[in-house]
Amino acid sequence: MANIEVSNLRKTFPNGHTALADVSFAIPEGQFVCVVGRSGAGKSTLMRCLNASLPVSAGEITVGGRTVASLASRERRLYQREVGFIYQEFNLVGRLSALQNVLTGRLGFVPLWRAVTMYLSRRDREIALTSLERVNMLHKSAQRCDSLSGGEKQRVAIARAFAQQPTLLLADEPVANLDPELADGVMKDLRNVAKETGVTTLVNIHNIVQARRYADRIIGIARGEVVFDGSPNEFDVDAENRVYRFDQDLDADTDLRRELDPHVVHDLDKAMKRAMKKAPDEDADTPTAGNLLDRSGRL
Amino acid sequence: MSHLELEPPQIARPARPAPKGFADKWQSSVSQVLFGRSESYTPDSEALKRARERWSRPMNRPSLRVVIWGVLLIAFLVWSYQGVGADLLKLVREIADAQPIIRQFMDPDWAILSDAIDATVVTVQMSVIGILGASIISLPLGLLAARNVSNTPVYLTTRLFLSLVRCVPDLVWAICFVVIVGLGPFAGTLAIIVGSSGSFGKLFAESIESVDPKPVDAVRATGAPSLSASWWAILPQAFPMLLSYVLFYWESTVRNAAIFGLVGAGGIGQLIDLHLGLLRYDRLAVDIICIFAAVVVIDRISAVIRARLL
Repeated sequence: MANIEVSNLRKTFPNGHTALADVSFAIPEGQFVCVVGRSGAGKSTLMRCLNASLPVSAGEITVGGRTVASLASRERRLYQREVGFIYQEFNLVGRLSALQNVLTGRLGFVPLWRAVTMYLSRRDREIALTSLERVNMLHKSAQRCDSLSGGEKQRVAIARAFAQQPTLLLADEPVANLDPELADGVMKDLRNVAKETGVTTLVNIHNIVQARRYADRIIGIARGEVVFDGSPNEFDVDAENRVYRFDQDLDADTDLRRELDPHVVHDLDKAMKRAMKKAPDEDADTPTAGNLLDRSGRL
Repeated sequence: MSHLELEPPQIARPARPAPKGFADKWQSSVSQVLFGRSESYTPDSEALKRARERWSRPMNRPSLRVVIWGVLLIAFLVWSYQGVGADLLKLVREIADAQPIIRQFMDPDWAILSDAIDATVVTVQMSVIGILGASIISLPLGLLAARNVSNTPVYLTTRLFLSLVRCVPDLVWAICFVVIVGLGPFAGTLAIIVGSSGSFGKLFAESIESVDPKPVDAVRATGAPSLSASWWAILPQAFPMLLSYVLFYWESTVRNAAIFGLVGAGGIGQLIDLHLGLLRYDRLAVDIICIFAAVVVIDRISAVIRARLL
């Protein structure tokens, strides 16, 4: 298990785009952290820097006392095998069974001859089966992954990450492709297993409600900088505005926004803009979402 | 009773402009598609006029560029046809010359059937071992010749090597191995292994390059060594294509077995060579029927394997 320290992290891509401007935070061992921010805020870049798959432009990342900012290939491999990564699109090998997919999480620890003969040791297979059981997928272990449903696929992907017996677990939008019900279940499983194994976990997530429900702590990123860092209870409307609506005029309609999920607000904003662009006499009393709001944004 | 006859409640609808004709609606949606936003639609905007102009022209009138390329293509085809030295009239006039051959063909000499079957079995055995050997050799070659697995120098070297192997005709490989290991099926099998490896390596590499990279990256990100990751994430994805190529080449090798007979490298090809030399087309017919039977059987086996494994 490992604590994370990120100090003055900056990442500028070769095309000149600065995804992370100046990010610093420290996460103690075993904490379950949700990272929120708009699309393009730099959340995924942060994950990939923490995973050492992107070299950083400046700053330092320390995981469990080990500097990981810019590792060479062999050190990077040794580091990465202890970092679990969960993807939005699952990224499983469709033609392999669930168990085989989970076993790929062990490949970093397995000698080449075992990998090539696909004959993994009893211990590795036990680890894989245990992590499948942790996410309640043991009964599907022989099934090919391309025949699993979305939620099941993500559970297998989580099991793959835990088969690495990671000290750090990174999840990049793990539930964005799932329906709300499944998303809840998968988040619950993810948190349970993370807490059982005591692994430090960072989850990128769009859904603020879920972030509030499952996180020990929320880090909000906007324009490549940390604009909020605190407990879920402290993540109030002001914080939300700093993370999501830094470029909008907020004076007019804070009342409504206090009540609503940012996704709903975003949809309403769009509907309202559409409605206001139309000629005032046309379609005036059509009951669209936009017309439910008056110009100040109140219901 | 009366409540059943009540009219359905009138839902207040906003007064809308009278529905326009189909053409107007269609044009308005065209303008939405072309210019994206519905706000920009005004019935007589310049943009819409230009769009009407553009889209009301017949779509299939070729541009000058297309005409030029078309003429060049036709010229190329004519040039190729000239090189063939084709004389269709001669083909029609003297088709009768083939009559004795065809007549002999129609009357196969079944006396040599058991010999032909034995030779065909040998050919099939050669093809099985040959294709298996070629597959085993080509798998690492294919990985090395795939852009998404190896680095550029290795990739280029392997591709060059594979091209070289492909450029040497199978017949030449057969002669080489006959010189080395003597006449017989073993030389033919070695020729199949080496000759097919050149094609397999290239085809395998291209299958490997076409797999979905995301699962591969995911497995690499677990800290797996490159070869392990390729083995677990790339090969399963490429497997259906690899299998298709292998099965197709298996059949193709049996069909082309005649080539190896020419240099005494065993199998049904040797009988074909013999019967051709003696001008015994009735016996040649039996050889070809045997190959045909083998091909049909292999085709069926391939279908079953594909159904089971894909």
